[in-house]
Amino acid sequence: MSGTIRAGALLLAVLALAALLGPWLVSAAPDTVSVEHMLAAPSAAHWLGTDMLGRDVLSRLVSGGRMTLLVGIGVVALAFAIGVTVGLVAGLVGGVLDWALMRLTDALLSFPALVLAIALAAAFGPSLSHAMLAVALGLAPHFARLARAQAQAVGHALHVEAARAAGVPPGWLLRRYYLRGALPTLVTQASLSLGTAILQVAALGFLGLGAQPPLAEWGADMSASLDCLRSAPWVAAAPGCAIFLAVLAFNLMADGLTAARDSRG
Amino acid sequence: MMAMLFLRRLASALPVLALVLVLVFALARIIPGDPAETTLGPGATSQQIAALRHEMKLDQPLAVQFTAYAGQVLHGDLGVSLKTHRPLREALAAKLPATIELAIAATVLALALAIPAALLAALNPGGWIDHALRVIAIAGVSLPAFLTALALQAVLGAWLDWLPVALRQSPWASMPPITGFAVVDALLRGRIDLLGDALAHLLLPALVLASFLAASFSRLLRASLIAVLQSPHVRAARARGLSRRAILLRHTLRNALVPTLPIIGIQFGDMLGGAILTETVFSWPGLGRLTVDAIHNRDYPAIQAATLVFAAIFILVSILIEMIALWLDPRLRKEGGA
Repeated sequence: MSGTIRAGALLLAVLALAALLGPWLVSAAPDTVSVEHMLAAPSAAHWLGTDMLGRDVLSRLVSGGRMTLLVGIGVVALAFAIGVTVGLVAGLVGGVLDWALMRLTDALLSFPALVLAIALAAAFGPSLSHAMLAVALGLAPHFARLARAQAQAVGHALHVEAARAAGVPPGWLLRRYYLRGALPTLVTQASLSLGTAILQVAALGFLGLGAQPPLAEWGADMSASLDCLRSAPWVAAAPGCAIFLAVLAFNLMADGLTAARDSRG
Repeated sequence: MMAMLFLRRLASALPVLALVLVLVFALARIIPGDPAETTLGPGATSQQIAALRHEMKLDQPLAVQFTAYAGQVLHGDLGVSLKTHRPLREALAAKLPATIELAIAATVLALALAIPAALLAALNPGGWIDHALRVIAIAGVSLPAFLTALALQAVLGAWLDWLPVALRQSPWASMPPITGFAVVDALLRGRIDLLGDALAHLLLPALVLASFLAASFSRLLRASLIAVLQSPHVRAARARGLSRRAILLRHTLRNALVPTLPIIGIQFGDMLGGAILTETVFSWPGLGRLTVDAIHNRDYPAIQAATLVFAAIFILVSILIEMIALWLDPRLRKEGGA
């Protein structure tokens, strides 16, 4: 196992542990407003200080972390489900359907990823679930292309041609051979997408198109604290650095995974 | 020759371009509520709404609506802003140079950082420099653009007061645009002070965008360089007694750049997305800033038009990059063109 996988896994474990044990680690609730303690500097009572509404920054960080990890996994799972279904069906059926689905994929990939996510999120209306759907729709074409390529490779394998000749129904073929054959590559792609997913959802939150207040979400928390950036930089720095560390953890692991895959040939 | 290739490539992209237009058209239909009601606001009478619905062809079948929309776009009509009630084409044309200038500056900066870094790493793969650059690159692609932007703004701008942190020009330097590109305009006017002012404003936002591009591109180029180093012509050069440095610079770099070009195209798209965040933080009066303002104003035609222009830039740049690859490597022309 390479150094980057280990470093990434360690970082991720620390973050996940903090997110899981968070409620027991921090005393204050993430949305307890306290006017007397507005913009308090880091201290023993509030390790990372408080924000413009007197809410404990650390507790919002931990609560936002739980959300971020779930959101990242949720977005990739959604992109996986949509993209892989489209890709495998295109590869299995072929013909006009394949052509149409792949041109649609090309068209979606013709938009800069974040631009597409922003446009979709703006059209759906601002909310966390809409932002997740928007980012997932932007990531899905990558899964579709990969799944189709895998499906075509699998489709030409002798045992699959034999199964088709023996009259195995398409639904069965899809699950038993195509999905199973394509899975290893697709899972690697999914791990590569986690960092991107978190980064994009945070960007939408930062632009006001994701999670809405008072929900604790790192991107939205960061943009909410911009007005007090000079007097209380810790309020924006904490969620900003947290996004960086979470994405870094996933990207370190993805780098290690890609290196392992490439060296295997 | 190249013009023919370009036209052929553009023609092959036509079905996709048409679908892009369909998707942007569909954006306006995803929005909850009726576009005519949204346009007129809450105080409109039902007659006004019906009249506008007819004018906007909303009472026609979707296919007719789309044909009308596509016809408009092909004639360069991008619709009218709900906020300013002025044609969006003017607004976008005024903002476009700022974004293109930023993107070009960021690309130049990214290449200036990434090529030396990749060469250094490939000089001794697995060495400590290679490892250090790898870790820096992974960190670079993990940084949210808005965090980098705010950090640079806070440290280099507000705290050290070295560089301006907002807009494209100082108030004193504001002049009617000639081309709209601040750097080009300064050169056309022959004013060094204007040029310095424009470059100082450009540096921080360009650096934010460049950091992401440089990080991913340097790793890609390193891998490509190492692959080319295994090829026979490099072995021949080594047999002639050339140093590793001379081989890298003269016999490897050009070949190694070709396979990385398509990926640069994809990353250029990521950079355009990053430009939206960067422009927001630096109050950069470009396309990204316009998009974010449009979102806050619920100006859906403006969001639609900006999305279309972003996609058009991305597609054009991708084709341009393919052309550069063909120019660098004539072998590709036979395979791809025939």
